[in-house]
Amino acid sequence: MTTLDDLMDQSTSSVEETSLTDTESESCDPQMASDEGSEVSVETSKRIRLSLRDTLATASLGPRGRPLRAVLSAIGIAIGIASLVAVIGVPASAQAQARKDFEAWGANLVFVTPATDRQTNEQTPLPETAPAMIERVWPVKAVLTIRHLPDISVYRTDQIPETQSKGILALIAEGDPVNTLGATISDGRWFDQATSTLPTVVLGEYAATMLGAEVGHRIWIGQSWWAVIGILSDLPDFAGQLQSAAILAPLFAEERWPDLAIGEIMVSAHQGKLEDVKSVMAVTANPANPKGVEVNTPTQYGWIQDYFFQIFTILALGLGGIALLVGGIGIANTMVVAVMERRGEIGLRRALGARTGQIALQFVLEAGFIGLFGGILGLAFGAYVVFCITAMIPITFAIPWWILVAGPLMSVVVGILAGLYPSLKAARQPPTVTLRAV
Amino acid sequence: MASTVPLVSLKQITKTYPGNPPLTVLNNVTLDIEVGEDVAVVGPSGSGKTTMLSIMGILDQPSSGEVFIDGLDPTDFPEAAKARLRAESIGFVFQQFFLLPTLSAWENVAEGMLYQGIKRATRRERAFEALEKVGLAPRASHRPGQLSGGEQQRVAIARAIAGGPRLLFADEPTGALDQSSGQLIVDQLQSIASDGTTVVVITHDQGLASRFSRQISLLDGNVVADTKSGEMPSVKGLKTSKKKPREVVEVRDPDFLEPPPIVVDQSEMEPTLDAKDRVRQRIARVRTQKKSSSESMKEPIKEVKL
Repeated sequence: MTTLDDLMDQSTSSVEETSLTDTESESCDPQMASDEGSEVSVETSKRIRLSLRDTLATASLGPRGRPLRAVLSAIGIAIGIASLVAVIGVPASAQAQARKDFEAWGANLVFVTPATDRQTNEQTPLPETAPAMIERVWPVKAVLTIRHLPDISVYRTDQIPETQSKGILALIAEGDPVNTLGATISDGRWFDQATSTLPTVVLGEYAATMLGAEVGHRIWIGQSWWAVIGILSDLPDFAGQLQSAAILAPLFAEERWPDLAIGEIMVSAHQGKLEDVKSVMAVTANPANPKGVEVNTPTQYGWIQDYFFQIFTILALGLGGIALLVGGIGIANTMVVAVMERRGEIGLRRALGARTGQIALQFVLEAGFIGLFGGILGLAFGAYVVFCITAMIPITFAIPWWILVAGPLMSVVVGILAGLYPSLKAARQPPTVTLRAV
Repeated sequence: MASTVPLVSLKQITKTYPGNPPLTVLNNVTLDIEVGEDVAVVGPSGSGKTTMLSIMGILDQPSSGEVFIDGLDPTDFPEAAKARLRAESIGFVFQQFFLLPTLSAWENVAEGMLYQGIKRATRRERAFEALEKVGLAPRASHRPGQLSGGEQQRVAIARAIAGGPRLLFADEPTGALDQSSGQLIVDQLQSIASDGTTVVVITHDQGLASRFSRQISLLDGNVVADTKSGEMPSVKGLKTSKKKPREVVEVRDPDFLEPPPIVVDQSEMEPTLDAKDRVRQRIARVRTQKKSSSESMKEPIKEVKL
């Protein structure tokens, strides 16, 4: 332990030397002052740092002392964050709904068909290896291969006149319609190894209605009876032909009608990979003659929705930024008033041995607390607004995950920035001025 | 006293605030305060009492002159060193208490040790000990709003002494209190002084000031009287003698010696007399005492409470 002599030596040597020791912290002996003899006890010019707990406890005194004011200030920030969440959340929800709708429409589908030569008007058949090759492409989710039976009609019974076919198509589908098209088997089941070798059929929902057929019924196709084993529902609009089709058991049908060419390959791409899949389909399906392959996507909506979402995001950031600025001014105002009102406390703390930096930190953290509280409040309120709007329209509720982190973080930053000037002002006030002003 | 160096020493301290015209609050003040003294600084408003306390407590800097604490001038200390010196060696008590309303009594007392780097548990323990000393242990968990003015000031005193300061400055500690509460506060301060802490109290109340062993009178930034109990009065160069009762009066302002002092009987003293008149009366009284003591030592001089 050194005394004022040592302190004086250090202080008069150089400011730089002191600043080097300032970074160190230490704990005083509690009994130091009382155990010391006749000399004033000051060990060194090293700064005493408050523990994190003490720092936070000190910073929370203001909001605890005047909770209503703190809440009202926080509401300013909360409105800003809520605006941000709402303006970003509502378009995000709309986008999520659009994606869902597009998927329902088949927006993630790629249709691979044989190309037609414009001069000869002849089609180049797709190789039989094409479905397997396409399935190996990584962004491809699932594949469904369609072979058409153009001259075959479908009837409820053998007593129905040939002219009353009702436009129901007969085709062969190999693959997985559930994963490829997002369809569901509303009744019965899809083909398995056993049923695909038997005269069985799965009807599209529209075809089943038109025929009045259910699972277990028999229907008349190509001069023979076929057993209905399933009803296919929820097909996307872009795969609408399957709605009104009778899908025949592939192995049994191909045995009966051999040499049927591949009419169409429906390829489902993973989300956001539509263009990637589309770009390699021709080469993959027919490496020897890519030009003999025609590749189509139902729509360009995926690109359009991304474009609109970007516009909404920029708009949201603009509006949210203005709202945050207003909230920040509210916090700054609160902190200025708090500093003016608490000059006595500031003076007292200086008299108790607080440094200017500790006073500034106390008020900056206090502003940060208000900001954080406002951020969390705004996040909850904004999410509730988005929930209400999406429930009313109704669309899918969705809030980007990053706003959950960025919202409170931004509010803390705004709070700290807003509290910086009043805090520095508080810290720089001479203790005699603050004590006298009360 | 263990140390021969004064604990606080002011050398020709002048404090002038800028303005048009500049305001000089302290004018060439020189005085020493020894270790363990209990001192009352008296004077009317604007006489420079609080400014002098702020300079002694390293809360303010003089415009000129030197301040020595334990023989060293902290004026050039870096801010961190000054802060630490205040935290560890100086306690303050203010007229307005400055208790934090959201904290309980013991938490307010513990707050006084916050910047000493003392651990939380120890702060709590010592806060309760300090409250015990001022007789407020049963009210430790009460908030300031649940305490009377006198109790609040006792909490403030506990906060000031909890860190074990060697110097305690009290600026009008009884200013916001009634007479009985004020007496209690002075009792507390004298008790602290008797434990070895140097106590400097600023007060308007001459009655309270007379209970301290040394009284320093300020007027218009000048020390006009510095009185210690138990010593023979001395006026402008008169020698002191410990054989003679009771006071030493050192007059530094020659204006108070001219014209010749008027002798005023104690019973005729007006309660509204200003400080200048009080000092004049005291000078007259001392001269009367000196004259009478040189003629006859038969009758002891009565203590006059101003």
